[in-house]
Amino acid sequence: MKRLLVIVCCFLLPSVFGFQVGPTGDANARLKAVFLYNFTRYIEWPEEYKAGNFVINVYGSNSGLLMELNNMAKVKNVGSQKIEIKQTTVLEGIGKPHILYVTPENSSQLSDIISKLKGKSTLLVTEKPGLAGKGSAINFVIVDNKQKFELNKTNAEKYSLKVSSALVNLAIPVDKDN
Amino acid sequence: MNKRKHIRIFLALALAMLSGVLLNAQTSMHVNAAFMYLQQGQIDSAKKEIDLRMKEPGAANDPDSWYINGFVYKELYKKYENTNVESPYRIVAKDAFIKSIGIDTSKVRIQATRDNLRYLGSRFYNDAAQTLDTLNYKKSTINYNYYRECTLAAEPNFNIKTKDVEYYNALGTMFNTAYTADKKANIKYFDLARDTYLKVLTIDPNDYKANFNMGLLYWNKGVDVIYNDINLDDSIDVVFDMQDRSVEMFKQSLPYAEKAYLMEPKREETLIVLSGIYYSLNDFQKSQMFQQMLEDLRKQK
Repeated sequence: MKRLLVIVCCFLLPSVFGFQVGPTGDANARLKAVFLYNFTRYIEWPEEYKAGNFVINVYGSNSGLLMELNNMAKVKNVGSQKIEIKQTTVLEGIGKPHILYVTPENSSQLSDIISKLKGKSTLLVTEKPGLAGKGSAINFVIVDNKQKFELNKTNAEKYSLKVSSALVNLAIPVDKDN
Repeated sequence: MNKRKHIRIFLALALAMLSGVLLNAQTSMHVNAAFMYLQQGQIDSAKKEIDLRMKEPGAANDPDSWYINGFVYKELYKKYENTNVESPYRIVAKDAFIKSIGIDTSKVRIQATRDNLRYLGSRFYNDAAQTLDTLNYKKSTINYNYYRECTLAAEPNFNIKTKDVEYYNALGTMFNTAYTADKKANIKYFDLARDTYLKVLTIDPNDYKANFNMGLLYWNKGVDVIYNDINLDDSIDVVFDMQDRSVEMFKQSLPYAEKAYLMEPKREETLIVLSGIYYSLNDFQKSQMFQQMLEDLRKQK
């Protein structure tokens, strides 16, 4: 009888606590990292940006995304360029990256960011409704619970970036007047 | 008291009871012989006699014969197959006792048969628990069903639903644990876990554990699609397709997790899962709401 009781308890316990509560990763961050890497295959940077490391800078705090980007940088290149992930929390730290991702918290500084990027060939990626119409080239948006992205081709071209028509077809189009 | 002495006393008591239950029966020569051999501890000879008896025309409707048949095979099980989770002797004993109790009218013997069925049931149950792993789960389920048969035959009003829920929740969690341990190699266990929890919910749609685990299972699966099924080299349209699949999983997880929350709103794990599912669905407002509730709950403790 004692053995039976012990086994009854075994039946009860693992049914809730037998495995960890929740997945180990941040799926949203992983998706953003996948998209950011994918953009490099649909966009062409000017010749002078094809030497040295391919720099992706994150302006703001997003530890999940940084982790995913760093994981990606360990196994992927952009052409022959090694991927280098940077992060800054100050406007002065933006530098001259190939891609600048601006967290929603720092989106209010968009006009200052655009000023800093003047004359550079940086793909400006934001994540707040309406920002593709206010200067960013790509803006992550949520549509039907899904991560999508708006593309403002005109804004991208202002930075001397060539955007493939395939990317235009996959993105939610935003013209400069929106 | 040492174990051997304990067994001898138990057998003596069982035989005394056996002679009592046979008093009113019209026994055959083979039944009497089987009984005699049992008294002498010659279990193999008892088997030969009862096997002969069960081939006789009158045996099928004779509770006496079925009872002795069950008793002999129970003793055979104890002697030869005590550690065999697939013991054929034990199955014969179960079937014989169930047959006996189904046609019996003797209150004394019915009580004895119930005791024997309870004993066998507890052994089936133990073995069901012991084999609850990825290699042996089919044996586990077979033994659990034998336990059910024994229990319901002994006590037709027993609330077996509670045991069913308990067993299938444990089985589902075993599958889920196997799936979680190696998601690529053990993909089949995701389906088995899902089907098992769904079985629990058909028995009891309001079972907290099954609802919670279904929510958790689908949520994990949705995240796994993003992590395991998307390669960095996949094109964006492939990524979109994968995301659709993932979101579908998150949406499937939600009603189960919400139901679990409604049933047990003060459980941390439910709040964690709900906050996570809404986050995965990019509904950050609701995710934050459940996160706040979790923090408030932790402060109260």
